[in-house]
Amino acid sequence: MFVSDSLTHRDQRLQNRLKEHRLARGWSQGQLAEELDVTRQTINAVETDRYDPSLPLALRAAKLFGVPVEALFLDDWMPKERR
Amino acid sequence: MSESSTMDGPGGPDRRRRLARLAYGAFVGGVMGFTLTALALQWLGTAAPATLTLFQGIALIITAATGAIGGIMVAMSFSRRLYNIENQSDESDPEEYGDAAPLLRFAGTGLLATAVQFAALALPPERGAGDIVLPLIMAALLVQLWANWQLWQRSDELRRAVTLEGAAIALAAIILIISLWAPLAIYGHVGFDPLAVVIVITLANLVPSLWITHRRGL
Repeated sequence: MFVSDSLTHRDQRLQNRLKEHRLARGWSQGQLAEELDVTRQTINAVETDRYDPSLPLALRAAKLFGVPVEALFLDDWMPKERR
Repeated sequence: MSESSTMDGPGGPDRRRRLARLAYGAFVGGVMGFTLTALALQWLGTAAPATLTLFQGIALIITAATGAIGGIMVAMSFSRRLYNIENQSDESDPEEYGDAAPLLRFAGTGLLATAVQFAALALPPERGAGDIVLPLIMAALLVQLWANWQLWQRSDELRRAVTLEGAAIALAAIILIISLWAPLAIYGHVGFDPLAVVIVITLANLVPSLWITHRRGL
């Protein structure tokens, strides 16, 4: 499972599917880092949920894999009226 | 948790390996650095360990720790073999060393300058060391400033985020400590040693920075 049972805590980091998309392309973390112009440590930190990327980096990653941002970075938050 | 985070997440084997390496490196580096610093000071005839005040002792421990860690980082920046020993990750890229080496060099240089700064601060000024110590401290501060600027310029967003997060925690800690310390000192409950102020500011900066760097897996 990719989505945890509770993402409602304020300090909960986003879950993501970066690793799945990267592996599907057969890329190493270093190759993805080069594509996105960041270090491998940044890719590793994002994949292991230690760091939430900036909006520009998230957008670049989504464009690179050809998916919407919300398909790459998962969040079950909903506006109050829809809960 | 995502699948990716189960491999080396909290409590995982990678985390334990990192902690063990950190503890071992800190212990060996600390002992070596402290011994070498004490021997160097004795050789210079500027201070015998028995005559040091508490804060001079702490300053020497900071000298030892920052000197040892900074020395290891600079050595790693010049030796791919040393770097590979420290970074045994399945995902590590052969090209990564080229990107990491300058960062290690500047971070290590900053720490070595901190070591020089604290070694100079620990020298008792009454023994006539002031003429050498003051320019040395100024030079060390300039080197720190230059190294940190170079590091910032070469950092990507994760490293910059880590730097900013560490700085925010450091600022909050310094405001709290100094705000508590000042009234206690004004009303005569505690002393106010300038060396202690520098030590508090440095530790309030170094400790959160190292912790956050470790937490983010850097």
